[in-house]
Amino acid sequence: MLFVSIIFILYSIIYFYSNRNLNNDFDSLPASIENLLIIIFCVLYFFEQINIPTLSVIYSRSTFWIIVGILFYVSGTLFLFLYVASLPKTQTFNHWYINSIFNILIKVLFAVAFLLNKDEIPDKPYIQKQSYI
Amino acid sequence: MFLLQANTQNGIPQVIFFGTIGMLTLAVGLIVFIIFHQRKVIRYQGTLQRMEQDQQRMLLNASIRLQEEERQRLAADLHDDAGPLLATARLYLNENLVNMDKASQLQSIYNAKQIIDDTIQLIRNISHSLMPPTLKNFGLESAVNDLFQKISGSGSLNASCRFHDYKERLKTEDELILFRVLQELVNNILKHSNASFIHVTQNINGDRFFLRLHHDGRGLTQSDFEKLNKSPVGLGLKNIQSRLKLLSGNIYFEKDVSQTYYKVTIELSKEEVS
Repeated sequence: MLFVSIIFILYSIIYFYSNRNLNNDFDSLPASIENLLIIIFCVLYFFEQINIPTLSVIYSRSTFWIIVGILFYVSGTLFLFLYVASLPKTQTFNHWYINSIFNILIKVLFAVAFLLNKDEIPDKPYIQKQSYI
Repeated sequence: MFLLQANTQNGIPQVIFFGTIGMLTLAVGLIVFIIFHQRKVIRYQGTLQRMEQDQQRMLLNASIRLQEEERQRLAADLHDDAGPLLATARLYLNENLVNMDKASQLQSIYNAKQIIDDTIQLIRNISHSLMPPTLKNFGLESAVNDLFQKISGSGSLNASCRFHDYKERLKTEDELILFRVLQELVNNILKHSNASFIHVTQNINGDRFFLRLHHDGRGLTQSDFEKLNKSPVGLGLKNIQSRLKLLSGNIYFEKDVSQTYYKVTIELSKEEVS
């Protein structure tokens, strides 16, 4: 997975400097691939978390809320990014509210993450930790 | 369907709309699944932990009860045997003060001496059964040998032992624990199994210390042992387990492949005990 990500980053850099379409200010395809990769990383995070033996619930950890925020943002904007290049210039702005909504959502969820007093890494299994949610 | 419509100009907004809704539903579904799954795992772990605690409590209970029983036995021994003997000796000596006749005086002093000798022997026996002196002075091998000689001496059953790798003694307190476990096992065999022989072997394999006990009577298998361990009866077995827990050792009960012997294996890690 890391290998794929490195290839993607290299591709993005090369794309940015060589093949960039200067008429269109949004890079539809790389953004969509990026979203997909991040979705996969989020899913991997979740499956890693449920394999850790612990007695604290997953939503008492701030990393969980950060990952949920990112997951909502990238999965919500995936189709927008995918098709926004196909829309006529005049209509693009009409659909950009989707991006704004998810932007608000991700920031609200980040706020929740910061409100949890600290990141509770489950290094000590079998210890019940207090949840503030 | 929507992807096809995407070719037309006004289909794209629909694709974006439904695609976003779909992705969002998937994301929510995933998160809900993760949360519920994790809750289930936590509940399961909680039950497991509770069961372990129950087991611990049972073991502790058993060892406390056994200690109390031992104390009662000791108190009974002292009260019923040593007490009357000494009281009788006192009576004889008391008689001496009243009775001035030389011959009967001598007789009663002699009787008192006899009784005091008996008492000394009795107290020796009690103290030896509490802590075998051979174990402390000469180690596990000699103590087990001693115990087995006594058992064989009774004639009803043949007990023997062989220690293959026992050049270095274990720590004294660990030897005592092992000896107690062995004593309990042998006691159980004598009480319940109707065996005609008991054979104990000891050896070391790598860093594991093994003590194996064979007998040909009615015995236990691992499933019987676990069942008895979970039930309120079987105080001795629980005590064996709590003692071995101190040494982080394991005990296995099994029937030999030939189906004629029962085998009990005690396994310890060598670093733990030496």
